[in-house]
Amino acid sequence: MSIKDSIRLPWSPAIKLQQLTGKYFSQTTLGTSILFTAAGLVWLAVMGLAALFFRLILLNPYNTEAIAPIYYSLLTLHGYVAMYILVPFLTIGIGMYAMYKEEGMELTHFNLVNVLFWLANLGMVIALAGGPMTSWYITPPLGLLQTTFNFYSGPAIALTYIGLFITEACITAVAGITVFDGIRTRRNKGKLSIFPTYALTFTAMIVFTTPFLMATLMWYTLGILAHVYVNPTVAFLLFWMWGHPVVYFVPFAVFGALYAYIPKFAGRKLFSEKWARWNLFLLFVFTMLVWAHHMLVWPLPVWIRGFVNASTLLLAAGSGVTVLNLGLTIFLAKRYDFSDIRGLAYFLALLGFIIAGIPALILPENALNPIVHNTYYVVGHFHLMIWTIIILGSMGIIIDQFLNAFGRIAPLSNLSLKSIRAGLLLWFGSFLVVGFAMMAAGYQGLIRREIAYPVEFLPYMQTMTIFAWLGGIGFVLMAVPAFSMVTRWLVMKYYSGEVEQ
Amino acid sequence: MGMGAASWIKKHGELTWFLVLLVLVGIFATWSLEEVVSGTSTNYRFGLPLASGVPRPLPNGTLVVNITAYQWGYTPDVIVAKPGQPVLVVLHSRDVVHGFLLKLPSGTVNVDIVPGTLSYVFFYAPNTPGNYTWRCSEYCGIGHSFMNGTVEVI
Repeated sequence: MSIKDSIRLPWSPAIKLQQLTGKYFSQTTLGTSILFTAAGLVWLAVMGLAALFFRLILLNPYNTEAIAPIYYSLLTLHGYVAMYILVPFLTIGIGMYAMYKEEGMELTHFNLVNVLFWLANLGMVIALAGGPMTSWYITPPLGLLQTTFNFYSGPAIALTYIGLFITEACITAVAGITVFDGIRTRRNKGKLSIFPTYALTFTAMIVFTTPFLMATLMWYTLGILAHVYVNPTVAFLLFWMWGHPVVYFVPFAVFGALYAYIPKFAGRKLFSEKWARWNLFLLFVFTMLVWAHHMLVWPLPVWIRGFVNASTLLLAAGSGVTVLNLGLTIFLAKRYDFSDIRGLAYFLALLGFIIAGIPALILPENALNPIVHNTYYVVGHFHLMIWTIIILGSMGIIIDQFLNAFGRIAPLSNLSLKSIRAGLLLWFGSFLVVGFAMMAAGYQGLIRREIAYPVEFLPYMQTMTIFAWLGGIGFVLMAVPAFSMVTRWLVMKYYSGEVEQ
Repeated sequence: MGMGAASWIKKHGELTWFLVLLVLVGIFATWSLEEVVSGTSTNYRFGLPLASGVPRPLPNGTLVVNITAYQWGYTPDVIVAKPGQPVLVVLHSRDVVHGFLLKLPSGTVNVDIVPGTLSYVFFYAPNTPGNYTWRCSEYCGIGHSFMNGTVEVI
């Protein structure tokens, strides 16, 4: 018996805490990765429901200011959840899973990661309770106007920014710990396999870019509490230094999975492993150099316009090489295994990425951008990216993750497999229609974030709403089998005595 | 020789194609920038913010209008111009970031109005008489959807 054991009291807070963390905290790398991806799916359901409801509001082109607070609160909830928590959670979850699955790398700081996970969720709840009606990005100094807030008033509106700051600080710390633990526990020598290489690189990008957002949030907080002057242009630039890279966290992590698994479903080698590895540098560096292309209608000097035009095109070339590499892998294969739902999900993610990417080629062009800037064209483009490469790509990984974790005890039934397959196809088809309806309306001048709009756009809005709801049904078709799988697994474990009764 | 070419492609093809793609991007970006700097591209002709596309000197008979944007409106919110008349709009925001999006038969004018900085818009009034509505394109609060103005060509 050690000295430590001999002086143990019958009840001590440390022991009690240890028991509680042992019981309620995830203590495996696979389990922790599921904690993040599953939480991502829950937040996805929350933000998706918000979108489905505000789409109903948009069916009336004659909305008045009376409905505006509800609409903009739902829109803000949708955007906040998507970018501030869903995206980083999915990235971290995918990063953890990639390092565990492909290289046997492990997390070691389980308690800390679990605490940070719950704190990140708490921060988001605090932020959402304030719900500034500013959509997902905060337009300075709009975010500082007290009249645009819902439940907090006066200096208490700073709680919104403090809540977001807590969330982002926790996320940054978890991302750092994941990469650090992964590197420390690596057993194999030589090149890291492609999936964890991509997934961990873009998990690390969270650490490089999120501090810019945290600085902006702190600036707003000081602006509210201490009346510090917030320069709109500097704050906006600072915000987009995180706000642009964040949109690539998940897609580029998913690229790693596509590089690793599309060749398996195609039954041949990846067309070019070299391209995949060189591309990583291009994507990593240029992701952080293109943010000002969100500001092409701002009063910016010509040299910044030239710089972001060139850097965005270089980044697009990197994405083009990815598409070419994966496309040639499938094209040169004798067959592709669509019967595996993961193979189908990865294929749809890649196809969607191509379809969503091509209309975006005009966006970095200074001369063409103003035609569609702030219209539904841009909304259609980036949502198509989200619905395909981000959601469907993540779905492929999450299905694999669930099969790994729960599949042996609770395998998917035939009905579940059919339901997931139908869900993937319904989701993809429906949102393709929504995306193109958005782009067509935007090209004709439908401005985003408006509750009252010219009546000629009503048929577009009706199409978007109907097909968005259909896509929502697609999500349910995928979520129900996943939920029943986890429930069955829990019940089986409970009766076998592995879960404490 | 044939075999030589095949093995060269196998060995250097990936790098070559990668470099070709980068060169293509370089050409495309340079061309685009040249268009912007020389003011020959579609929208730059109307003047991007910072007055960089505004003709100097202004054409004779240019109507110069100073507009202040605020939550939620413009003052003045009407511009009366003759058909084909050159118009210079100098935009200023009193509170938050607003936008100015005007679709004309000859192209789209779309700029943001940032507090503390002036934005400039230059265009020729359409030759067809009528009302042309501009709208706020940057979300600016609950009254955003109702913030607009009119160019009356008479």
